[in-house]
Amino acid sequence: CAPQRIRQDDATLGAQSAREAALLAQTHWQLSGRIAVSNGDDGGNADVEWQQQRDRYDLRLRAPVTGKNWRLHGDARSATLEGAREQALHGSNAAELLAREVNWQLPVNELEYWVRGLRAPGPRAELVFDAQQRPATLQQSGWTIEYRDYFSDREPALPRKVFATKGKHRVRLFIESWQVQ
Amino acid sequence: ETARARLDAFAKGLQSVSAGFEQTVFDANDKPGKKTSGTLAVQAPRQFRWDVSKPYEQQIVADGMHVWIYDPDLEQVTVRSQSVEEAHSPLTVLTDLAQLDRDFAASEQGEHDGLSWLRLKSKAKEPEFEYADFGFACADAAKKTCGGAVVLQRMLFKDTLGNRTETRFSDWQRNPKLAADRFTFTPPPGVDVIGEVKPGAEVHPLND
Repeated sequence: CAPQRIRQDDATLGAQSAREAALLAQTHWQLSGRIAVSNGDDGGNADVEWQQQRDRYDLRLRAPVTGKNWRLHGDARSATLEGAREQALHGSNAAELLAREVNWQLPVNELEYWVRGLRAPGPRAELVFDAQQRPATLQQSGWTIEYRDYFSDREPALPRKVFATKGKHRVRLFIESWQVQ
Repeated sequence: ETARARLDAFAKGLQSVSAGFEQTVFDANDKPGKKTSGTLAVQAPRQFRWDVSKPYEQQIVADGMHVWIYDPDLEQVTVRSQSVEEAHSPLTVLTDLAQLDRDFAASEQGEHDGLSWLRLKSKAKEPEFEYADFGFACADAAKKTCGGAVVLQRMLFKDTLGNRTETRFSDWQRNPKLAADRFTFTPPPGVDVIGEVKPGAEVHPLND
């Protein structure tokens, strides 16, 4: 039978706010897993290590076949991409830099929230919940994020499988491990 | 006996090869990270397979025209044309020494850890990696000179950001009888395929 889905109401939104407060208090976290990004006609796979300290992000991506490596790091106002060209490339934000330099659509600053099952600050978000009152689907800024699996051995639960789409753009993330301080 | 001599002996008459692998990635400060294991197969001139079985499943198949990557956890197959991908992979040189000398500069790295080491540096303008080191042993461990029976035991791969990938090989099979469809990838039913396959791209191994 299809998994139970609950629309957002006072109870589920209350649970989500409590969840967000608890997770936002953990300002240092790290995930390790695999990511696939595609724009509908072609796509790329990579191993991903994502370290976050407050608003500082540090993403390391490694392609499986060639072992090609990229590193994307910065904060809310700056982004640096290493490994795409001989010299490092800079931009004001990660998503714009990736789109410009390697034609990848990766909303990094929002994913920082979405990957933990949180609403990103700013535009309104629409949520649908699962039976344990955890986000099953989150829609925000034109993206639809599906939470297909969670690590339920921790409280609050953190996602294990995050599939995001926006039109023909697609970001799929399988998280092998979380470290949270 | 130089490492190059051992590579030549290893690659001599090698049309196809298969082996087991264990791979560990070390970051720039040598901290060990992800460890994976599985099997690989290479067939002249441009086909190879890299199947991860632990700790997750992932299949990478280069069929001569395309590179297919199937990741069951991501419930998706991505496919890209092979020309870009395989030209940069040190793996395919094992069955195509002509490509090795065309795409890479080889230099002796001497003996350590009981192996004789050869370094390959890519000649590409913007190489995808710093270098790849091949560590060769004699098939008969007691021997000092291998007399043609050589085993590639380790490969060390340094990328442009200073990470190091250490691969240990085991159970080499020389010119094994590989199933005809070993290097053909058929997406499992119901799984999304991302990327285009050039229609009618027939695969003809170019046995020169």
